[in-house]
Amino acid sequence: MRLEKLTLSPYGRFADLALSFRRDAPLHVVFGANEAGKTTALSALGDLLFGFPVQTTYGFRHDQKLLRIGGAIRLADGSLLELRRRKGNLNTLLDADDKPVSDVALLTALGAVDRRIFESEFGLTARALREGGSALLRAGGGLAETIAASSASLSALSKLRETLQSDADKLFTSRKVAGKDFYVALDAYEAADRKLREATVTADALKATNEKWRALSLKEAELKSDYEVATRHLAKLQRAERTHRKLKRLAVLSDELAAFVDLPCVDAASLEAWAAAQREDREIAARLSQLAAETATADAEIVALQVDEALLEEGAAIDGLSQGLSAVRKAREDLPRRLEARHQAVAQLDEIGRRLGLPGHAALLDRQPSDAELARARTAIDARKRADERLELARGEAERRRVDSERLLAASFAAARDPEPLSRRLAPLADHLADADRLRRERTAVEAEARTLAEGAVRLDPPVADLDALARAPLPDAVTLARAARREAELAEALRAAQRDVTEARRDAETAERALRTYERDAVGATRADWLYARERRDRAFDQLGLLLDGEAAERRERFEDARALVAAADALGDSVVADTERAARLQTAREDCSARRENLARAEANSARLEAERATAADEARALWAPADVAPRSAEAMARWAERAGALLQRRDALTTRRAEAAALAEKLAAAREVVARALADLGRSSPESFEAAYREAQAEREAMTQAWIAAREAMGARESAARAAEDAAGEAARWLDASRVLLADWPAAVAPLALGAEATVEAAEAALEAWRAVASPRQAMGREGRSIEGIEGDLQSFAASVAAMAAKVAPELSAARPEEALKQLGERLARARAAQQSRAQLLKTAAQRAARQRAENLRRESVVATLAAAAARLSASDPGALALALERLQNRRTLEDERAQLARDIAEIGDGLDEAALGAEQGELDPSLLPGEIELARARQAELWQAIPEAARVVRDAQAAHDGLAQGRDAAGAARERNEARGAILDVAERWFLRQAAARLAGRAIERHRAAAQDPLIARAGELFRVATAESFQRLGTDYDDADRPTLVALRADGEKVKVEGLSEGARDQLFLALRLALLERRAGEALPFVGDDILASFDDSRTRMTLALLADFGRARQAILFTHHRHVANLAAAAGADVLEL
Amino acid sequence: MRFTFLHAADLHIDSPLESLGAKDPAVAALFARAGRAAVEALVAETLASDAKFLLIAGDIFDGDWKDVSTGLFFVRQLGELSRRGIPVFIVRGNHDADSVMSRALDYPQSVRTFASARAETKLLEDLRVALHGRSFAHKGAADDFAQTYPARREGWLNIGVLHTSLAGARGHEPYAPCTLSDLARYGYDYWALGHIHAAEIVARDPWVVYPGNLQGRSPRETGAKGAMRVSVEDGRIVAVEPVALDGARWAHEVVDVSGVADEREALGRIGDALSRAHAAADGRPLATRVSLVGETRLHGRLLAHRETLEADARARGFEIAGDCWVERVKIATRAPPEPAHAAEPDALDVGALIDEAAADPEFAAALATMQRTLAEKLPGALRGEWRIDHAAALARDFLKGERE
Repeated sequence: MRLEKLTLSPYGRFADLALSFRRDAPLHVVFGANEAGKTTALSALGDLLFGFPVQTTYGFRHDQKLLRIGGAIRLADGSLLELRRRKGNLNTLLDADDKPVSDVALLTALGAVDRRIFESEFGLTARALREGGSALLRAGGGLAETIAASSASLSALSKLRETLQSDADKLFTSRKVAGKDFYVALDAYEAADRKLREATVTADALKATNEKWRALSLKEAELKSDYEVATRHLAKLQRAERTHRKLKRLAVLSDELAAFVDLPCVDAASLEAWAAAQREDREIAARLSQLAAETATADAEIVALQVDEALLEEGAAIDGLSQGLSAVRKAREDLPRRLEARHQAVAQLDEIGRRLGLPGHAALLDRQPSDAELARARTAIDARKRADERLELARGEAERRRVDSERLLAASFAAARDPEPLSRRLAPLADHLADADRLRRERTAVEAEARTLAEGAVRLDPPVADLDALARAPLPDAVTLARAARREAELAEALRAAQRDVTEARRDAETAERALRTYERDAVGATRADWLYARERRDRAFDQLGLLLDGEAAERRERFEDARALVAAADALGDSVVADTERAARLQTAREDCSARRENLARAEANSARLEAERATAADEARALWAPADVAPRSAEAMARWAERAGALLQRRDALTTRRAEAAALAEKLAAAREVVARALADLGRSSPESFEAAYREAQAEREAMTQAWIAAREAMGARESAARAAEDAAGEAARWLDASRVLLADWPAAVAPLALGAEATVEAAEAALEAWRAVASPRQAMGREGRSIEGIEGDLQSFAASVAAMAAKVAPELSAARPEEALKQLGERLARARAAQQSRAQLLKTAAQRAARQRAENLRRESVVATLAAAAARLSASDPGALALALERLQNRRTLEDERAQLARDIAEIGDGLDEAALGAEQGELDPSLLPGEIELARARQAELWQAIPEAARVVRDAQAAHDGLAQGRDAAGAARERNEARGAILDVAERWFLRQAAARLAGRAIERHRAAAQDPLIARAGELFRVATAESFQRLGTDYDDADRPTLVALRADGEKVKVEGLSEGARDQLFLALRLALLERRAGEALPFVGDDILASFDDSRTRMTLALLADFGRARQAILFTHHRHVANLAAAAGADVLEL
Repeated sequence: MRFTFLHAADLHIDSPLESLGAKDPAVAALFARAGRAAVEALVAETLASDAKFLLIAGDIFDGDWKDVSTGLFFVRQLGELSRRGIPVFIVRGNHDADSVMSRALDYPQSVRTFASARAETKLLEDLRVALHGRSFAHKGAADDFAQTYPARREGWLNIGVLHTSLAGARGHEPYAPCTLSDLARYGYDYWALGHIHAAEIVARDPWVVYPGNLQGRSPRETGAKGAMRVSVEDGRIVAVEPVALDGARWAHEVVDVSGVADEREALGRIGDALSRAHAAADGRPLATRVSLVGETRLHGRLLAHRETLEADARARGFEIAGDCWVERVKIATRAPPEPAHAAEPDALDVGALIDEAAADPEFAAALATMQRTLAEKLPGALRGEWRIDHAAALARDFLKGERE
């Protein structure tokens, strides 16, 4: 399919645009500056083929119903398809008369391609091109991924596969990893399963808890029973302890009461009444005596009191005056301050009047302007100030703009030069910088290696002074060295063995000689003659002892001791003589052994000497072997190692020599490049540095400077025009503000007249006057307020003095002359004293009346008591008070004993636990009261022990019951089962989610792999051809290689067969590779070939790469149509030069 | 004389509901007590309707349920009826026979369980009702189980209580198989059956009735669940009416999404279905399975975004009511047939590449390996449940859906 015509009538900004595409042109370039409608034309092509989108952005100028796109499309079979398209949902393809026509032919031609595929696969933007190149880099050279990355759809599928795989891996992996959804759900399931098992209450468990509960309940009941028994026993003992003394006392009381049988029976109330009357009679007498004494004392105090009645009558008035005293004091203190405040206000007003040129505050207050006048003056002042400021600013701006404009007009940009020629000369040398860097690094590495080799040679033992000389010298081969080492080792081993033999033989000989000397020394012992002589002396001693047997005991003892010593000496000599025979035999044996060992030593020493000679011979041979290399050899083994190390050094030396040669070649290449740069700099009148890098960088800097200057010159031209316009605008603004200022000046006199100013007053004077008038209000108000306060205070003080003087004249004339405050103070003190005396007198009179009443009551009570005592005397036949007192005392004693007996009976009734005296006596018959405390302690301990055990038993029972009840209520096994079911559902859900994602990821991978397998060979071959064109044959073709994982990878091949991996390509080359792959892929499309549309895809390329890429597109365009949209003029020019048709919008 | 009795079966107390797919405890709590609440409702209904007795035709408990507190809960509930003097007649079903837990239960005296050794008759003299029944002794029952029932007692209201699947499987294991005519030959007035979880009045002369289970437990047990209230007048059954007693409800809404333009429109149809289901739930917590069916070009996208759609459907459910839960959204749609691919594959036709790769037998083998890999990691009890049918087609549609 080739587009032959595209009409936009109307569409977007175009009312009627027609673009014609030549049928046999290999490449069309549609050029349009920014805003010329390039994007609109691009969009129109998509709308023509696939229809308008629902939300079109190109109906901004024309009615959307009228939008039309037309086109002529030449299909592969040669037929021409002429189309018109309107906006809408159905029947949008029209004929020339706007009648709907069938879209079958178009849809057939498009096949499976929809708008998305068209835009993503057949369309390419500069950004997509760069992203495509990056995608190739990310693909890591993997063939399938690289091929997929060249297609937008497959690239998206590849990314989707990665996403799905990532999602799947988050859900599940065959190796358990905590945190993955599957294993989280699995853990939850297993936890819920465990929880269910633990929560399930089995019948056996419930039965066991029930039995435990019942057993513990029985135990608790037994404890309680024992506690009751112990409690009863303790109660009996405690009861006995409480009652046994009272029982005993009751018996005693019965005996004592027998002594009062002569007394009449008197009831307790009478007895108590009589005794009370007797006590009360005595008490009444004492109280009457006390009252009489108090009456006398009070009468004397009343007579002594004096009360000022006249003063008391004026008490309320004096109190009123005293209450006003604090206000009077405050007024006296306040008056001076208020006088001062009024004085200051007047002074301020005078000062303001002076500033305004008025004689005093009175004149000032007469000329006070109204608030409206002050506001008008303020407005006028502000307006004049603003107008003056704006005028000043406008004049300053106009001046600056004028100066700028004149400066820019004077500037010259003739020096700016077009940097493009220089860029073109430098472009081919861009890669040489890397070569220069490589050469520098290579040289450094070579020098370092040479140093390392020299150091290594010196470190050899023996050292090598000249490695090159060593390289030239013949060296013994490895076999010879090994043989020598082996012989040396054998000799060394034999020599070591011989030396060991010598040492051992010498040691044996020395040992034998030492033994011989010992035997020889031992051989000098007792002789037989010595032995015989000793025996004779012994016998003689015995004879002498025999002669003395009848002599003195002491002498006999001495002789006996002598004889015994001689016997011992003779025995010793005898033993020695016997031993000598054996010693002689050993000595002979030692002599023979010593001789044999000396012979052994001689043989060993001879063998050792022979081996030493052999070793010397071998050393001579070794020296002869190494002599040609001028090396003084060490041991054969060491020299074998030496030879290995030296050999390694020599290999490295050979490699170093090769690298030096390569570096020299590279240096020559850079020298030639440096000449090119030098010529370019010379053309610019610049000298060139010696090194290529410096020269190239200087040239680049020069190019950059030229570019900057070129851009600056263009910008300055625009700035010059802007400055002239700005100067004119600023001058106009200044003129407008001057007019406004004149108008304000005409209104000025009327505005400042209320401020007591004339028309000549300046703005500053008017502002000062306005400020002064505004300052009048505060002191004016203060002067009025303080004046009124002063008048009030003075009136109050005069009124107070008059009232105090009148009071003094009435009740205390001697105080009339005193100051009012002092007089009032004196009156107050006198009034307080009079009031105190009055109160004391009233209290004394009241007390006297109360005392008289009490005396009357006491007398009356005494009459009743006397009558009671008389009746008691009559009953008890007491003739006088003494007899009555005695009889009452005996009655009282009897009463006391009876009361005690009754109390004991009540006590026993209370503490006897309901048992009467008889029952208690019977119960305590067998108890020994003296043992009760101990028995009680024992019983109490037993009871306490049981008491303490019962709560624990009860608690255990409660726990058992709670455990049983808890089990009976269940442990939410149903909840656990529910959780398990939920976890089960979650596992299956995760499993399904994982499976779908994993399966889809696998499927995507398989689809990509199938595509690779099907497309690889022809696609790589065709893309290689395109890439060769795109790189000006820097690369010859594309091929496949294999990485470390034996995975097929894509490589670019140079003419010399060098393989360059994708990551080894420059960024621009990768972009070209991506474009080549994309175009090759489009060529492989089975259906109708749609035009390839590039949107400014060459914008980031330099001219050289742009030319090459245009060639690539032209190559593609010979079989399929290629259209390139651009807004870069130089791209259009380069394309035209390359034979492309250029259409201008 | 007029009276009523209640007929229930298949209580399966504390048998957990199928997974709701709810991670939120608040949602789980809505359904947590549904089973026990249904039992309590059964007792309450028996009291409220002044029923003279309660029949339970088997499977009170799950066979493998060992938690005895479940049984004690049931005993407590029956205690309420016992205190009111309402007898309860029970036959033990296949699950009960298998239940170790239920053997230890101590029912109140008013509970009368039919023997398993032979069919027996229990009489309610005052009502002139003869109940014939036989419990399962073990999980399996002999083929002639139903033929051992005693003859009709003349002049009495004869009720047969039997745990059976009848002749048809009805989606359940066959137990005590018999035919409708077998039952009719006994001349009983009412056959109170159990075992089938769907309520059904199988016949009206005589009455052969399944009350269904008391509480739905999965998306397969949808709609109102409960018992049958049977009215008797002058020794004759005059009315049999279902009584909804379930504590929560299941629904399965099949939503046809043919012709929908996008997921939003599909979601609208789901919302409509949920509204209908919730209105029919009588205020009970509702768990709904939504199955999307129909031919739609959204098929792949629905598959690929099933979880998102499910979350949206749940949100839509919550908009309807706080107890309107979507258990799962299943994608059972199908894609429209695609035009046949060209003989020579287009280099840009990624869809065709995917189709070809999906049809590759090696891919099917790889999927089978994946299934086995995952199955090995599953708990033993779940391995039998884990299977994805038509995996290659699902993967293909899922991938295509992800691409869109």
